Amino acid sequence: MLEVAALDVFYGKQQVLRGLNLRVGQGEVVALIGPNAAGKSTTLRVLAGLKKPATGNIALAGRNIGALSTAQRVAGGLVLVPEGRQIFARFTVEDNLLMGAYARRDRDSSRGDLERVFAMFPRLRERREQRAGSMSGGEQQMLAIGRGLMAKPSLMLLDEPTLGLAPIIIDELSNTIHNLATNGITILLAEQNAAMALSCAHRAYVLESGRIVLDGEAAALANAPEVKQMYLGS
Amino acid sequence: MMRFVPLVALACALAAPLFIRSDSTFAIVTFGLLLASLAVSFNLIFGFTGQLSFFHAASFGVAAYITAILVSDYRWNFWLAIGPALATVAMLALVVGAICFRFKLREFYFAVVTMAFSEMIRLVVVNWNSVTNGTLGMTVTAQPTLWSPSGPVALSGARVWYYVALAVLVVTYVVCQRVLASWIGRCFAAIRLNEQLGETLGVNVFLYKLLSFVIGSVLAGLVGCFYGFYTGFIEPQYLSITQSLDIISMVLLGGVSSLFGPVIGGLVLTALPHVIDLTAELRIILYGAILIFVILVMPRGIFGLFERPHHAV
Repeated sequence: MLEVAALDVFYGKQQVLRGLNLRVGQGEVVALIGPNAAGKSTTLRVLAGLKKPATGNIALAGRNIGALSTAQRVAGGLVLVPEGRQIFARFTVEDNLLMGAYARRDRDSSRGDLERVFAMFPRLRERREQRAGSMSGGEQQMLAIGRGLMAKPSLMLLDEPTLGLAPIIIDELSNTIHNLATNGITILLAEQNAAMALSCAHRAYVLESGRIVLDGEAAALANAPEVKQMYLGS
Repeated sequence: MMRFVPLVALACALAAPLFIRSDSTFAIVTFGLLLASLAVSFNLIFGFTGQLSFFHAASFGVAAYITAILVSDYRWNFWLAIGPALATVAMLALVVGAICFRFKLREFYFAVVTMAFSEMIRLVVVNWNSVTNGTLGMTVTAQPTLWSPSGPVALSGARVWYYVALAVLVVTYVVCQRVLASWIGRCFAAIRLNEQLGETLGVNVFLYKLLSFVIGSVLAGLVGCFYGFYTGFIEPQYLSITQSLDIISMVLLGGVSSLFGPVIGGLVLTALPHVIDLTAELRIILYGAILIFVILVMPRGIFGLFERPHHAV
């Protein structure tokens, strides 16, 4: 579904991604784990078209999307749920969700898709007229994912969804990711919380200083000594 | 409930001439309506899109000059002269906006650079004596006419201009409202609240900022077209920073978070100096004090006191 080849990315003179190769298959949940500043967020931003790579190839469903704008990528089914529970705090929950459908060609008929999101996140239905900023952190994260769903994605990029959330909410989030996958949405999950990410994912990549240092089946990686020592704290 | 306030206000405004007796009251209200239109269009850029433009006076002034020059010196029909005036303003706003937004100027950087462009245009007007008559300004004696079955009727008299000003305000208001009620308005709000998130969702931030800036500026130009013919006089002061600051004051006073707030701000701020019955020095002090007081005590403006904040736009 997604093929990334030899991606080099710079911020100014500093190189943050070095020859990155990545593959996400149709229907897979793939985790991208690694320490702070390894380049996880940058990878997702490049995929979403928010940051231009110096060199490299990005193909979605066999089509090169390197030259497409963010809006075109969203319309094509590639949606980023950015880091830090980004929402429009002063919009209502419903307006936040509708904004997620902005880049769709059929956005004016997106109201009907609210139901799909509410079925998945009943809390959002209860709060649909409420200001988004007044909700709890976990609810805001669900809203951010729900907003991503409104774009009718085939591939969803989740950037650090567990950041700052309570353990019980993180469990809920794992269920959500599982649900998304069951609904046929392919997922690339960037996480510092390696335990959670590896438990959700089929496969995983370990990113350090802009380079993939390890990759493989999530279950196998969870048992790899390097990963255990560095990321799972045992 | 609050949705009906503009309609009720319009009904009152239409009936008001039945109760207004003096020409001076008409003059104050007419000025108030024209300046309120400026404030409404400014708020599309400032309150709704979050960009503090100092270009508004320039748009207003340029359109005033072009219409007056075309009508006085080239004998154009007033209504036809509006076309080139607004087209010029649109072009200027497009160029200035494109430069500012391409370089991603935000907040004070945007304010300062638009101010510089505005000053540049004012200096051209001041120094282009052969066309603009420089610092002395231009007297506009021609009167726009309206077609009627019994021949053209000149727009003159306090009552007629009151309705002209009201029409300008209604046009401005309705254009802004239609824009804000669409996806365009949602995108403006998205840019104001969280530009990066907007970009992530696929909003073309550059394009929508430019759109807001151009629409707002052209509407300011529309007011300019009429303003000169109402006062009968045009001077470079129209394009000054003070003029832009007056507009900002009106919007802050009335309330930034609604379309209707600036209408109140424009009317109140125009009427205030005339209502204060004191000597000139004391009047300006009291005027300033009231303005400061309102902004300190009512950060959401006069109209902000009454509205219930809830929707995106």
